Amino acid sequence: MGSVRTVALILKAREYSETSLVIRGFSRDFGQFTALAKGARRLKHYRAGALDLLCCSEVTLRRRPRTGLDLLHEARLIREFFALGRPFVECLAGHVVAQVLLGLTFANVPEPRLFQAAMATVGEPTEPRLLQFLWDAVCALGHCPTLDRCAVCGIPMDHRPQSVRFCPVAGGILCERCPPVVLPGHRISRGALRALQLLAKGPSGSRRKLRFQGQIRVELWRLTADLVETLAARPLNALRTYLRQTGIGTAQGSTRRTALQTPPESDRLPNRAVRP
Amino acid sequence: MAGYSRSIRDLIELLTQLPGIGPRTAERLSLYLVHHQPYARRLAQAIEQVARRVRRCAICNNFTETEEICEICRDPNRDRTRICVVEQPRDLVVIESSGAYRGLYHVLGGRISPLEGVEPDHLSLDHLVKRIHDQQPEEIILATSPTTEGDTTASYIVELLRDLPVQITRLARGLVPGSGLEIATADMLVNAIRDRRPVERPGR
Repeated sequence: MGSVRTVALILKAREYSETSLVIRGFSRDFGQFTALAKGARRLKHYRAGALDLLCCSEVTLRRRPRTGLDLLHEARLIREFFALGRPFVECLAGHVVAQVLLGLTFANVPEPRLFQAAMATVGEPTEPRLLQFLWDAVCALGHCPTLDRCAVCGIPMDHRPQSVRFCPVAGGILCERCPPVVLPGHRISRGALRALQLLAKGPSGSRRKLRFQGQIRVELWRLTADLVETLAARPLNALRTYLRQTGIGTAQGSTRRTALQTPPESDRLPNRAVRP
Repeated sequence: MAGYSRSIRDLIELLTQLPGIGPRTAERLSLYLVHHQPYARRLAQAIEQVARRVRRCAICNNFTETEEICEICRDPNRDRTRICVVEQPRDLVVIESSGAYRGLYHVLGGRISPLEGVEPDHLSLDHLVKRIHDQQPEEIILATSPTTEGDTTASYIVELLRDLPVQITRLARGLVPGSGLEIATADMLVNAIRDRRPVERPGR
């Protein structure tokens, strides 16, 4: 197969042999890829700066679908991620973007909208932008939760309750009558639900300015982290570190621990599977 | 590895756990050791000594042997007003071999890498803060690697030491001496322009 050229965000670089790197990236034109960059660790190698984590580079790949490991021929740095001089949490936000893309995207599945969102977030990794990126990722990949009706029975939830239950595994909010809450979930306030609906609405100019504070911010982040980890089917270290550093996650624990904690008695419903 | 005796199989398995050693290389090394028994004994002794005697320096976290404090921290001729922060002992060795620096070091024991699960708590950063309080150096030189993860670590240290009365500097980066501008990459030039410094003019 011939060579292809595309723009890519470098998500991970692992040392391979004395001089080479195995690169995982997210490209504009064919989604996630893994490529061997021979000689990329040599001192005078022209590719060295272009293959650093979170750099945006134009890469030339020889695709090898049979092995799943492409060969990276050339890389030209387009935009560097300047970690030094940034606040530490912004550096972490960049790592969160990388880990979410690694966990949620696939090889040979182009996601140009998500690529644009990732590039914008890495360029300006502020907290509101990262939250928007996580929802962009969830929605662009087809996992947008149901937020206007019960995810199980489909009853519209337009009576504006004070709080609702949100279950990532069920795929959205749940009405009070729906029983299958054997799965972990969150109870979120009406304000947080409204914020979620705004975040999930899809690209719009006004959404870019959304900022959340106080309890709604904490609710949104914990729920979003739980949702993304559920979709990735594994804990995301960078996201957990980010939440701890921003004071949203618990000091010793993780978002998963928060999310998986036993639901309050009022939320717990009969569990036939474990009932003796 | 069927066909080999149990001790050779164990040796192959142990060697396979070393970084960069695959099963075939481990097999080749094992057979070499079997055929060169005097060397194998010397190697075993050396490994045993390293495992028994080498420990971390109580001050800088570098490797030390027998003493609790390493040679560099014990050296009275060292400049004690400067501490160079490095990721690994091998980085210290590289800087030492350059001969350009005669101050003290602090070895972090890694770098912050959220993707790999390495967080600030996993590095000897509390120790560094305590050391700065105790020794009151004038300058901390950040010599973390010039990568995103190394810079993330440096960024964390800058925030950690923000309120301490110490100057924080980092290693310069940019053009390679002896090379021409035409072969410099874009990021080399960006760094070089950003890190430019005044030229000293004699007689002024």
